[in-house]
Amino acid sequence: MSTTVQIQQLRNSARLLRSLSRSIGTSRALSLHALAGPDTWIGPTAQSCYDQLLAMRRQLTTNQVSLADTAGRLDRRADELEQLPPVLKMVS
Amino acid sequence: MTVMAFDRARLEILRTALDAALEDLHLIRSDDVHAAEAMRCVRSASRTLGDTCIPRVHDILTSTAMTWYKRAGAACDNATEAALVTARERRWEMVNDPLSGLGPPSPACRTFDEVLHQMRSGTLTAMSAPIDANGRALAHYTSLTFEPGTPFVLGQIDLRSNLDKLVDFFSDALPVGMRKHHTLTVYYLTNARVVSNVHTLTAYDRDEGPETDWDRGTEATVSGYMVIEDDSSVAEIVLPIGPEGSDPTAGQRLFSQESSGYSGVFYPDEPPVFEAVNREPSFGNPDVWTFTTSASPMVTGWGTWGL
Repeated sequence: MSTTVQIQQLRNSARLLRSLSRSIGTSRALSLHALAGPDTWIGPTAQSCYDQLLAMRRQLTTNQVSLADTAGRLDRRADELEQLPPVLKMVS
Repeated sequence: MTVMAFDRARLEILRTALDAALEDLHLIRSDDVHAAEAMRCVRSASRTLGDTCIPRVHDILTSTAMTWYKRAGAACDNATEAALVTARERRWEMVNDPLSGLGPPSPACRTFDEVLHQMRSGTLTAMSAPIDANGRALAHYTSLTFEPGTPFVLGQIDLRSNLDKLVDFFSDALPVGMRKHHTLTVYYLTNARVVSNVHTLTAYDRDEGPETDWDRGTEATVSGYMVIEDDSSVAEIVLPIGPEGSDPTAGQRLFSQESSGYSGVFYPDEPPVFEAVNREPSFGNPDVWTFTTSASPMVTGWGTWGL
């Protein structure tokens, strides 16, 4: 695979991951916990549901950040490949 | 004793938000290898919303149970937090969480096939059968009445023979028909109330039911598997109407006779502890099944204990 193609793939992948990260970040699933608090309902079942929504939000947020980090890493790798001298680009 | 309450308007908003959030999650897709972990998380979140949260909220909003509760008296003085404010305005006293039976059963719940297999192998232990009067007049016998709230259906199988299925099929188009239903259904009950009543074997008035010694009734709260075998049949004669070649299933019913019955056994998760029935007015789910042993006089709507 040529370096140019590889760079393009890394850029595409980074763009997709950023888009995915944005989709997760803007998902209405992240704000559910605010509607499921004790002013809406209370009791063991309500608490269990609230805890699940909080845990779900935590995991989604962690993955949202992780996707953005990965996208940044892929972009940096693409930058490195672009900065390689033409001879080395052939080798890599 | 704990307290539960909900604000219907806010819960409606939560339901709408849950639906919208699930829709958002369903739209998130990626097959990029770097996104595999994130997609697993998105799928898990979809399951949390779709399989747990939405059914629970939906069941609460559509349940009439809350209208049956006795409103709690003033007990929350320290109403500084939102929870206590909600509790003060809209609360009910309860011994067990009545919502725990709503929505899907716990993940530890056995599957339909596991229940059948463990029934046959004897791994599951059935609840003690009701006492049989053995046909002796004035002897005592017991009945078991289950008030399960919202039973969760684990699975169902059709026990009809191929011949019965064939007869049922052709009954659609023939003037003389016979339909049989014979099914085995396994339910999972969560915190169901079971009442054991003591009766005396006498001739009884059909409207008033059998003679019951109300002071000797006991009750328990149970969770476990209810296995029900339903058997019903309908024989009918139908006069076809309309011109030849019209819908063969359309017709005037001239004669119809139905018979139905059920039998069942309950397999509790833990041995039930029966205590004297609390006669105080309180929330109660409607009774769904009442069992007695086959030798006892059968009341309309009662089933036989045992399969």
